[in-house]
Amino acid sequence: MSTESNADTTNESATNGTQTGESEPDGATTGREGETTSDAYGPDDGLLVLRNVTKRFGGLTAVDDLSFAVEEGEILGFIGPNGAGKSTTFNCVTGVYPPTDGTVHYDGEDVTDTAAHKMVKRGLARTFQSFRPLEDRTVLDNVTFALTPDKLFSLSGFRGGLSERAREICERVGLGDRTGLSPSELPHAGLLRLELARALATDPDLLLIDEPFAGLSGGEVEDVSELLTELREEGLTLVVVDHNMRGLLSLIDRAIVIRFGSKLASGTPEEIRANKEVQEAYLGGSL
Amino acid sequence: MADENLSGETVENPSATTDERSVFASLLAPRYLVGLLAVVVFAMLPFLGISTTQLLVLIGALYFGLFTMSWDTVSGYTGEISFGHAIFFAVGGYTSALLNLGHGVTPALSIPAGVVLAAVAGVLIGVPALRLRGPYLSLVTLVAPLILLQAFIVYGDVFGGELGLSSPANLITADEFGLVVVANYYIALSLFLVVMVGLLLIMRSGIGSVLTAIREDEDAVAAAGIDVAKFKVFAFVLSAAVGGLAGAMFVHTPIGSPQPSQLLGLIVSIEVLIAAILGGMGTIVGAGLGGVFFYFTNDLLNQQDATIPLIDVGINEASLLLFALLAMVIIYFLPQGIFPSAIRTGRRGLRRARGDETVATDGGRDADGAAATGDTTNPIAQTAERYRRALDALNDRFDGGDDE
Amino acid sequence: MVDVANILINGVVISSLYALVAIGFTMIFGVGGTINLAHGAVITIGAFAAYFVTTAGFGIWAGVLAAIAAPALFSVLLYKGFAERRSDNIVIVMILTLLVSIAVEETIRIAEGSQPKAIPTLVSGTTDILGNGVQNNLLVAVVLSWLLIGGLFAFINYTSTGKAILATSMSPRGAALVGIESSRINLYTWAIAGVLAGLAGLFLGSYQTANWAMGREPLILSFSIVVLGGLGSIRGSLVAAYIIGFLEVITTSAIDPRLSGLAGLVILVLVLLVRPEGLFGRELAEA
Repeated sequence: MSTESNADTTNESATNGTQTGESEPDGATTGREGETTSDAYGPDDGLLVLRNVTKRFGGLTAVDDLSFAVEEGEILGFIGPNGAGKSTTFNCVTGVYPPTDGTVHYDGEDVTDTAAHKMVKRGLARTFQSFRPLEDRTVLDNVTFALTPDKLFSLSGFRGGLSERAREICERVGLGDRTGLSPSELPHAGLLRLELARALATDPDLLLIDEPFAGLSGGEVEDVSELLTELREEGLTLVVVDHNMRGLLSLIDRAIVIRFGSKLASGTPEEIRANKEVQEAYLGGSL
Repeated sequence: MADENLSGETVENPSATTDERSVFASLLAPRYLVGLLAVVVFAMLPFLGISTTQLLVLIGALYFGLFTMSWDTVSGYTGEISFGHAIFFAVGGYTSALLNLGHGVTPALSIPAGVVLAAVAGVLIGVPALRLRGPYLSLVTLVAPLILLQAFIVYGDVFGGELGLSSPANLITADEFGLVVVANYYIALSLFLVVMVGLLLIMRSGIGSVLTAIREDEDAVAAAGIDVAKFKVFAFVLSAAVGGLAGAMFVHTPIGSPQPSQLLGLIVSIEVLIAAILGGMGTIVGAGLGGVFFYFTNDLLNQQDATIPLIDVGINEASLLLFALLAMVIIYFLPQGIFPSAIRTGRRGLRRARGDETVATDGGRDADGAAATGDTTNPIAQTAERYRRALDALNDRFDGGDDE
Repeated sequence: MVDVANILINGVVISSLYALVAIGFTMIFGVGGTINLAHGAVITIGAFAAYFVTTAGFGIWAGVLAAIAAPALFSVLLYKGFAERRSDNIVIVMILTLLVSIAVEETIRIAEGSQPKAIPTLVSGTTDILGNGVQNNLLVAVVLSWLLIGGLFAFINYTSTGKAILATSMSPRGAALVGIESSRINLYTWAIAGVLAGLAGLFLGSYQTANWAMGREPLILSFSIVVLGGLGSIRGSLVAAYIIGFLEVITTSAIDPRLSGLAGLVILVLVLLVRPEGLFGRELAEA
């Protein structure tokens, strides 16, 4: 179990003996300089702030003392090889289960042990890597469902108004012509768009997207990237998780690379690409 | 997508929305007309020469059908199978009986009291049950009535033990028994229909769509910002209240009385479960009809004097055995229940009569929109999926969550 | 005064017999994922098979053979007829086994009535233990139970079929990959479970009495035992059987005989609410 220090400037030099010189991007985009102290992040340092988050399952440490901040309006890449702990981190943040240690702050407030549906209400939405549409209803009904208010007795009885909004959202993500299909009739890229639509229906400020590019062709990757960029321009903050950087590096502003549950590197795509440890971690693979 | 999924929602054609236009259009659908016809027939039964005894049985059947619909409300719609639903039936019935017998409370008040107490029981069971899924939740529901029954036996002087209490006041008093029975019959029939329509309206609304989504995938529901616990408890409480209503009304009829064998026994919980599944889980109507027919058929068999040849056993003796065998066959071949299968067959027949396609035009799905046998969007399949997931989830606690 | 010796003896007897039942139930679940609600009826079949054979004049050891053969055959038929064919839906199989259980009980009730029947003892005489005269029959029952369980442990851990059963319970897919045919393995498992339950029925029938509903309480207690021990764990069922068996005897002897069965139910609820995976989680006994 590595003992990760929180200082980004040193990264895991302790474990492999090389100075990486990796550092946070300069003040131009972040306004944060020199994170050399262990409490590098305060709760207000970003829209979403993780501090010393650790998650253990029995004897297995899936996430190990992870700290980072997501800044409002950015597209952050969250990258790591399979088994690195990305989905576990995601789950801790979105309320599937609480972290064993550490805190999560959203919009300045401590949300560490908050239930999943409450996180959604706060404005944090997520997509599922293994797409989970509701198979017993159409694409449109899936999105309409995601618009359903959390009330037992609401006045949207026949859901006519909701259907309209659902249709708009479907158009937005490129499913406007397929609203009447059932999810099982959608191709892979269509299911991804449906995931995005359902997440967008909850009116989020921050959208965590889990492995969107897996299984997409090159053209589809471009389309999806374009859509995500547009969403950012409309005011959304995005965190995109992936295990290879193929589609990611041109899309994101910044990246966090993790391995074995702890942070390996962070910085701009160029910095990440140049980072030797990252290259080693990927065995010279998909960079 | 399917013309219609099993909870009764209708999408008339692929690009229509579930808006007001299609709801009204669906009201004219053939199965509603059949239903209307059935209601008329039932309403006319006392005038069609049916005997008083058989009317009495029908009264019991209607309340049992009400009880079965209450089971479907929670189990059919959230996919959590209750193996001890008799507890709500009994709480409703015993409360009303005790208030009436012991304190002279009129049924007009004691019955609502029974409903309220049953609803409370629904909370007491529903809230702890939130932590559990699948078979573990079913086990907890199984245990509740067993414990209550034991309490009733230990405190026999209050609750009447295994023999129960004597019959409380009737809903209707009149000089002629036949009149009492007919009046009771119409009360039972009206209540049955009103509750059925009420439950259908609820289940077709946003609540129903949330519950069926919970049945299919709770995490997806939470990801939509919806509080799963709130809706699950609501389903439990609604189910408990309706079950309590059925029990409370039942004990005040000439055919029902507050005894464990009628209200609280394990066999009661099992019967309501099987009747609902036979009729069709997650359909309200199927479950209700399943309950009515089960009770009526069971009683009918019990009254037969005929003997089965060769083995020389009376039919009335073997009624439960015959029923179990019949249920086995039906559930083996029609796991979704009779009602959904009947609807599908009826629709196919209509289509053929109209000369429409009965074969899939795009491959893979027949004209009803149902996939081949791998269909996992029906209630019983989703319930099985929940069971499996609940059992697997406990194993994962040692393996540790996700791989990534 | 509380008769401690009596409680000890009855506790051991009841626990040993319930262990036989619970172990079979948990094996069927562990290997095939099936919840077999007809398991209680198997007990009844064992008892009545012995009863029929002995009243037909064939002697008790023929009765033992009947108590082995009939339940084994029944279990195999049940597996082949229902469980295997509807294995895609665990709930339907469960309901079917429930219906079978009702059918079996009703058949026996119709054929033999509700009067309890006595099954002759295997050996006669009594032995003095701790100041109590204990039927030798009971001693034989306990010893036989332990021999059976010991034999089962040996079978599972040292024979190839037994190891195949273990493998299938740990990973059905993995077992299939190495060529273990799950259909055959399930068949053996069901047969073994049937034999154990049938013999338990025989012993229970001679220790207490046999009647058509005799399988119900053991089945419900099995739920408590299996949940406490951990679904799928033979070791867990064994340990839990003794815990619950003794609690049951203590409750009925020392507190109130009307509270029969309550101890098990209370434990079941507590375990479910506090630690649903039970004592040993899900694992079959290992060497």
